[in-house]
Amino acid sequence: MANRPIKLILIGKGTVGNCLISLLVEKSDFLKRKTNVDFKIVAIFEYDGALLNEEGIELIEIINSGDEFRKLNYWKTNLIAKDEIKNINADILIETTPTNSKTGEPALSHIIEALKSKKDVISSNKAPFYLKYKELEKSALENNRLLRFEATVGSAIPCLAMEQLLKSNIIEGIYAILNGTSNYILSRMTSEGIPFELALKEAQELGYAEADPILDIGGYDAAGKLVILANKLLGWNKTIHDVEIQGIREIRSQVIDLAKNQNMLVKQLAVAENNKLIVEPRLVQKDSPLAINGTLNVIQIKTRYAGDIILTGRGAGGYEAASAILNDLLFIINWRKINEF
Amino acid sequence: MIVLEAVLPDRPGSLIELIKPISENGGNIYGIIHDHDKKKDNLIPVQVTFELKEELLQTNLAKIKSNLEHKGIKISKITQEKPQQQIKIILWGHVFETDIVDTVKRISKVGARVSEIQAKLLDPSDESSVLLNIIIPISINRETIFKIIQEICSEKNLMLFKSQ
Repeated sequence: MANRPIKLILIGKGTVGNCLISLLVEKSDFLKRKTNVDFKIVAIFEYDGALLNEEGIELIEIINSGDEFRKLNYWKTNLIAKDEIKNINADILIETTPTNSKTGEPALSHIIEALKSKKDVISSNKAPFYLKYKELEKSALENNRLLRFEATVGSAIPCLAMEQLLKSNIIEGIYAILNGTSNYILSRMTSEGIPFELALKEAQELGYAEADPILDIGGYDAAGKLVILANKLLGWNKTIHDVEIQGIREIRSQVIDLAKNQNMLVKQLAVAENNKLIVEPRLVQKDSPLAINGTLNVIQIKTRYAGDIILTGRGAGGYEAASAILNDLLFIINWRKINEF
Repeated sequence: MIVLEAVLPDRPGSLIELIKPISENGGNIYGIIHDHDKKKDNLIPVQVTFELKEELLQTNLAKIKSNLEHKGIKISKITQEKPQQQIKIILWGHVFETDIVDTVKRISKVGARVSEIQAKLLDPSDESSVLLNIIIPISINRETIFKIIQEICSEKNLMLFKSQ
């Protein structure tokens, strides 16, 4: 690989984007040591403009400016990422905008534009992958670009990487808890005996649930992640429209109590097996690896030759997602060391 | 699972004589009840519970019987229990008002057996949660049973919680 700086475009300067900037600064020596290349962010896009600097944006300056970054002299207002991606000389695009569960936009267009203009892509944005997975994979293949999206499922939990790590095995199914908010609510209903509405309010006050929690408690967030997992690990070609979804809003304390009497817990399980995708509340034995509490996520991968492989961890958070993005970045650099940029 | 009952003379080594042919013919022994309290005429009743793999069942069970007879051990009884699986479900809604007896009967009709019912309810006319423990013969696919239960739940507007 040419020993030249690798140029990055970052789209989205929200929680994940900001954490990524911090990590790039904090780990710059490590990255240099691991890859023997320098990284430069040449563009940071927000919805209303972009910071642009061909020589590389000074990241410390961005961190210090906080919310005032639009006052920096290389801020250009009214630039739209979708239109500008092809014009920017860069190697890798990192997409961290908020997900739009209906259309996947504008992230979907950002990814497509980047691949078409021969940029590798890393995304923490889920919707494009549970809506148009095959199209994106195809576009990456046709353009001979790498498309990495580890942060979309379980944040820093390396569940998508298992596709490579278990290449010689056969993955037969997936059981998972993929939504921390729902798991928190059900855990509180179980441990404190409180009704659903109160547990939800508590989750909102603690910042675990959005003001409109429908994506979490309705099962859609988990369903989207399940689609990505199944497509990547099981090689399926599904979208979120193929998932049978049942949320947790209707669950009453009596059901949880009855399950507890039998040493079981009610969990919002995401299941991929027998060519079917299901997200629904199910009964789980208290000693099952799926019986995790709080906002944790768990992914149980059922393999033919090695039984169950379990991954557990925090499934959300800025630094968690940013560290997954950084891993994807290292993967791309290492891959490109063999296959020139 | 196979349960073999025999009577053995109360002398050292007689239990080994009984177990050896079972083990030599591929039997995986789960338990032995050697009931000294029921000794009669110096004979003690023994019950051995063991498993034989499906493919060995016909040939090796016959071999075990003939080996034991050859040794002069009298088999009183052999019973073969059909392997079963167990599922637990919870139903939520008007489980009683929508005729729980009918629900149980319809599950039983396809070969499964409801072995236990537990309920939490404030008033029979209110919504309640009811746990059913269901025994399914291994020959019946559990998905078939779930499909029936799903149909019942849709029809009776009940919410179903399946065990994992």
